[in-house]
Amino acid sequence: MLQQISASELVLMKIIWKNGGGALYSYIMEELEKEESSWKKNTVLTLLSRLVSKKYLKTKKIGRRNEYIALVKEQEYQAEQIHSFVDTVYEGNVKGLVSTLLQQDIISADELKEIERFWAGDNE
Amino acid sequence: MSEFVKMLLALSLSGTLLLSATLILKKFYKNLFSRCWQYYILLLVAARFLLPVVFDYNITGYLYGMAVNAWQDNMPDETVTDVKSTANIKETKEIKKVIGIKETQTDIKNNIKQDIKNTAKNIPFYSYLLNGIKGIYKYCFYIWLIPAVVLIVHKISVYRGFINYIRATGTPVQDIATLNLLAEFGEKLGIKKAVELYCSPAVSSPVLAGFFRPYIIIPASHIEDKKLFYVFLHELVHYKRRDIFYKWFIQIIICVHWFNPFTRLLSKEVNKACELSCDEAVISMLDKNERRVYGDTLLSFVQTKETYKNPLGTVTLTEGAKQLKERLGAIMYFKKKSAIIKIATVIVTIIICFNFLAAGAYAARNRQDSTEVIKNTDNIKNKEDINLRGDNRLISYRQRGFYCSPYIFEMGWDLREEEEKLYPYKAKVILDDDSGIIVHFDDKIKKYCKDKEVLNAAGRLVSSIKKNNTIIKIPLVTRVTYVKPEDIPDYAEKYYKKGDLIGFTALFPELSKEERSRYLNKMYNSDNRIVFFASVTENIDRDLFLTYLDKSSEGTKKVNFFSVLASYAKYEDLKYYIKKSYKSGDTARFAILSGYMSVKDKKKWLAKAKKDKKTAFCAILTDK
Repeated sequence: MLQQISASELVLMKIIWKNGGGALYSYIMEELEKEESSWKKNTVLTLLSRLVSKKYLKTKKIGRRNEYIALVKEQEYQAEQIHSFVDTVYEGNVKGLVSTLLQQDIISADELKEIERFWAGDNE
Repeated sequence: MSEFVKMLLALSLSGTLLLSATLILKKFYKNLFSRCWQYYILLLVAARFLLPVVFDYNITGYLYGMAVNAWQDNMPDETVTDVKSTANIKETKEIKKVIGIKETQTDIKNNIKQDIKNTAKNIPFYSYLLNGIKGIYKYCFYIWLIPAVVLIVHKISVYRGFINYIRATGTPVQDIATLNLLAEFGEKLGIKKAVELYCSPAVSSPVLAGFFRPYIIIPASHIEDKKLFYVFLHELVHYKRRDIFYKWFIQIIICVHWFNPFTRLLSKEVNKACELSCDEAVISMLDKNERRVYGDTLLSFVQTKETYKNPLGTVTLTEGAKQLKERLGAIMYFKKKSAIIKIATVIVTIIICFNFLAAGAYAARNRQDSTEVIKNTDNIKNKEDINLRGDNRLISYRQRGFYCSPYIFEMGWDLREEEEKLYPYKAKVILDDDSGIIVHFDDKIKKYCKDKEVLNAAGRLVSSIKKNNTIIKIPLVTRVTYVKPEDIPDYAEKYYKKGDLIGFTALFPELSKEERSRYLNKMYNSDNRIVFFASVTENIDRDLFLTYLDKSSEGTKKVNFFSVLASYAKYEDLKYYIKKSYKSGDTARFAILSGYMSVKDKKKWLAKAKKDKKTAFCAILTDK
């Protein structure tokens, strides 16, 4: 069971995932500047060390620099999140989730059909 | 008492002296000198409690020496007793033989002490009490160790308990703006490490904790950004100056010196100085209006709620209202220090540093003692001088060699009661007067403790030694060698060549007068063997003795032989040599002889030396 992470921590995880599951601290800072965030150096370090203690990341020393390597894949994280979401909001009832998606036009009937076909084909 | 406990007590005394002196000085510098200086000087004082750095002469060494002497006088010390009672009867000569060349002037004093002690020993209750103290004395290392360990473990577990409680109740602050504020100050103060920020309802005032991974814990209640600014500044200054390490340093002193209530006072003073100096560092960065806000911030965190108060080993923003008043006062009256104050600061620093060294510790005395011991063993290298106590006491247990036909015995009789247990092999020996005495045998020669012949000879030996009024309480035999009477000259020759001092000394009195004279001549002239010479001196025939005394009083080479001979000579004989050495300007021999002079003669010679303006002789005579 993975621990929950905050929105700002997720931002950092996404940068690392995008870079193929590992990134140097300097790379992370560059990416953050591109996104025009005003995060200070030590703020980022604090968040990264929280991710390390939550077992989302591990550090590897390369010379004097730290490389942060993801211990959790993006898909794993998404799966975990959707499970906990369904559990907490729909009490484990996936139908409820799908009906909300349809009602809110987040997903169209055609798309749903396609998914059903895909699901049936997968189970043959 | 182990050296370690002695050193610890000395450090405790030394630290207390320095602390008291510094706190008295503080009355004068309190509002004058920089708070930062006041803090570090207190830490220096604290270091006195743990570091055995010393001068050769210092106050603690002196006080400690007095205390130890008083203590020893009250101890029922068997070794001392035996040596001293021998001394009572056989004058000062005997003492020199047993102890080596030492102590002449203190003999009278010792004899008086001894009389008192003997009287005391006759009263059962008193001796019982003394033995009780002695028992405690033996275990005092453990008596110290157990509370010290318990205290340290207790403090660490309280600290860990607090940290775990914070982890459980607190949450990491997620707000990027707040984290950025903290990061910004960290960068400004040059702190490379990221400082973690927690928010917990368990604290009412911000707290800094953690040695290597620092974290600041702020109360859960809402804090205005303006105030957070000062909170961070204050706590980060603490972190930068490693105040947590100093807090634990003080905690360790409290644990080690748990028996010393002054360490609590030290802790209180250091905490206060720590906060004041941190405030000083913060407000030196602020202007007048900002200082007021800083003061307001401190006030808003005064502890009123029932939460963790002053968590152990951490640094809190405010530690109580009383102290806060002083801190607010210091904030309002803050001004930069003038040149005169700076100079005065330097002077007081020097005074305290000097006190630091002058307060000293026990180690210095110890060093002096050991040089004395070295001097002694240099003169007479007794390889049989077994120091059973393992410390540097001068009075030690010593074995000597005796011949009691047909055996050589190596025996000593100053064994202490507690050492008796180390030698389980023993036998009862019947003496000439039909009384019995238990003789202990060393492990190596345990087979002899059942040998009737040996036991008979041992009985005769003990009886003959006792005839000289020597008190033998617990004899220990460490060597038995069978030597037929007709083989004595051959064995003596063998032992002399081999350097077997014990064997040779035992056989020497059994040799013919010609043989003895021949050996003395060899030792004195061709071989220059002072150790052998010294160990047989008491058995030299009087005419030979006087010849050698006279021979050795000439020239520069044989001063060491003269020193040995003089210690066995009658004072009447020595008078001649005192005159002789004075006339010839021989300061070395005069110095040796001055140790045997009566008080009256000493005064006489001093007056004479003064009149003749012989300063070297004056110096010898006035030297204690």
